[in-house]
Amino acid sequence: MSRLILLTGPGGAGTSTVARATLEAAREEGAAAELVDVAREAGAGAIDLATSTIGRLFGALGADGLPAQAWVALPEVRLLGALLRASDLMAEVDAVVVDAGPLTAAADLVQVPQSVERLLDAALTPTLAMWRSSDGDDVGFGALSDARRAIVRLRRILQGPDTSIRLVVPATLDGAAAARHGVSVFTVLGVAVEGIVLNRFPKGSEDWPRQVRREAESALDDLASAADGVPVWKSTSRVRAVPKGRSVLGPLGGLPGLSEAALAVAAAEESYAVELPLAARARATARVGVTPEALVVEYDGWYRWLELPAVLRRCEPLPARRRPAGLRLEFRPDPDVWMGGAAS
Amino acid sequence: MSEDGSSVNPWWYSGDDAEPADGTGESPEDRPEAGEGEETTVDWGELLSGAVRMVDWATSAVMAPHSEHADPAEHPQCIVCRGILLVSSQVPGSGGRAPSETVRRASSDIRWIPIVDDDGTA
Repeated sequence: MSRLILLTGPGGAGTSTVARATLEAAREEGAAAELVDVAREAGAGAIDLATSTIGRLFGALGADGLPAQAWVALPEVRLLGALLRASDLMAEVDAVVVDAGPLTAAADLVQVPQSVERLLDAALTPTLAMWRSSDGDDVGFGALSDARRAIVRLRRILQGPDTSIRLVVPATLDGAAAARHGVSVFTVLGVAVEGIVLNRFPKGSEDWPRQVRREAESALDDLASAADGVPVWKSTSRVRAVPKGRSVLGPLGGLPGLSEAALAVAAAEESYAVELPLAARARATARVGVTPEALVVEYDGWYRWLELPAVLRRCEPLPARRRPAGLRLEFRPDPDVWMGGAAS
Repeated sequence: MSEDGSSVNPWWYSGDDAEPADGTGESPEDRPEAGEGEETTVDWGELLSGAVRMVDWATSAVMAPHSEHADPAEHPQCIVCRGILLVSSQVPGSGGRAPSETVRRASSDIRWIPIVDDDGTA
């Protein structure tokens, strides 16, 4: 199975440099690898997407013709276009290295498939399924279903075991803080974070001011103790895409992304409990909520929708408890539902 | 007859004591029937004129009074209000009968769960 390695970091941290080094290292290991630069290839990917899926969808709905280029300005279409390029390449090579740009742009990239999937779920209604043209042809439902299938495939690739994110941050305290924030964002969004590259770490043999060296060491110590066990390595003027002695294709360990599999329900005496693993920053500030079908985790404006286990849909949530590894959620059976309304 | 004395009957309603619509005073039975082999022709001008009179009647006798009926339920004698009530009672969520429990969808809003530290503080 092909690997998808995304690299992201604060602006100016050297993400593109480390992405290129990762590509070269993969090729030196004998792997067939390709690089996708989201900023450069999103436009072309968006046109591909507009020509295929979106064009077909609008055609099925009876819309007038529209040049594919008209879609390029929409950020979501650009991001999906870039992801489709990367997923297409995965079928051809051993590893696809994605230069995902700044942290916020990368989080958008990761989140867009699940957001679009939810929108399509809401649109795929029985009414639309029954909507027929005067010739009896399906109007839109089939095309929307195909689009959803493609989106789900992208989401599963991103949240799957063959995809991971490596964070590239400057060797400063701000850089360390950005890395810890990134670990929380991407794991909440369901993508594994398998490494933090402290880039431009001052080498002992180089003439760096003492203060710069001291701050870089502090950043390293900070991440070693508070990055949720994600491997951290230094990259100096000699760019290091991977810790010494390790394969650039990984896996390197790190923190897995939040997934439905993590929602194992345990029955307590009068309630059900779920341990929700969260990285340190998210543990401190994330919110959790429920809808009739989903458990929602929000961290710093990023949302993750996890399918609520069936048993919990008949329960009322109790206050959650903050634990060393995440949140403990408890649900009490709702007598109005379990007793068929007899208790109300 | 309406309060102002004008007839609210449609032009095509003869009633028991109404004169024939053509005003000749003859009943249909008194009129000579078309002879055998004689073609029956359609008077398009008469039909069009009748249609115009029907619209005039509907406007004056039905639509104009209905325009002041804000709540259809208060005017069961009004044919338009009766129609509105009938339709709204058949369509769930259209302002008539309340939708049944099986039709109503649960709220999709997020209910945020309070979080406390293990020592019980929020």
